[in-house]
Amino acid sequence: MNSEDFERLIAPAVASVLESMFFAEAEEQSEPCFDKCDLQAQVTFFGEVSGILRVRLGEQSARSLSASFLGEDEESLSRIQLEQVVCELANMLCGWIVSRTERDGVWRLGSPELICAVSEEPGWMQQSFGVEHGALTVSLSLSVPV
Amino acid sequence: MALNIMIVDDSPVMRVFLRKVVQLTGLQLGEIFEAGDGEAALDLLKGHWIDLVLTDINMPRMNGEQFVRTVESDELLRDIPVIVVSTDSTRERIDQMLHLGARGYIAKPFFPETLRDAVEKALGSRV
Repeated sequence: MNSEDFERLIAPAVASVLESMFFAEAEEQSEPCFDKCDLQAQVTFFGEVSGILRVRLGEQSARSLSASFLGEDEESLSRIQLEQVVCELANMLCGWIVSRTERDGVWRLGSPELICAVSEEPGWMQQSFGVEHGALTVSLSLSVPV
Repeated sequence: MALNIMIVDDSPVMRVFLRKVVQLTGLQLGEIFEAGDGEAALDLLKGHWIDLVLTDINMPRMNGEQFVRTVESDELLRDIPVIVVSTDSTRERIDQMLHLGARGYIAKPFFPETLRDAVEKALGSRV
């Protein structure tokens, strides 16, 4: 995988995952809008190329997507459920992208983990997409094989 | 006959999602069991009548690959169809899991109809 792969695959990955599992749509190329209450999860992947994929969502967007995913009312969802859904979203996006760039290779994903919302440092690729109540930001950092 | 189904995934929200999708399939359902890893799933399989298992691969303690191997090597369990539900959509992984004995493979993300089709195919005339 390289930066061109990320730029080519991130939009279809977000569209596919949101449409089929969250019954939601994303607008491409939205401006990121960060807040201290954002939820952010990351998944580490290992293969010919290794790296980290991060997903960041505002709480209201996470609540809306989680309600669609779980078939529940937004108000009934706990913060823990939102965190678990954001982790699952990161897991699916990472799997979608890596499966299409490492098709013949052997790779594996680490367990998705919630992290404190941080701004990525230089070297990270990043794209944001408009979703209900805010933006979904996906970031990727590549490293040498572990 | 009502079908008892087990969902094996370490993500609680993914188990909820799969439970909802299974309930939307229109299949005549009995109990839906849940387990967070392969070991817990084996314990449930040994104590309950279960017609079909949906399992993730990437799980702690016993992953989906080890779980399918164990089910296939057990004379009493190997007739229970296991369908893998995973983010890994590489041909290599799909072939590996089917070779180990999985009766179906669903790559996430998927539409609900995909799950119904896979369940019907795995259960054949029992649906």
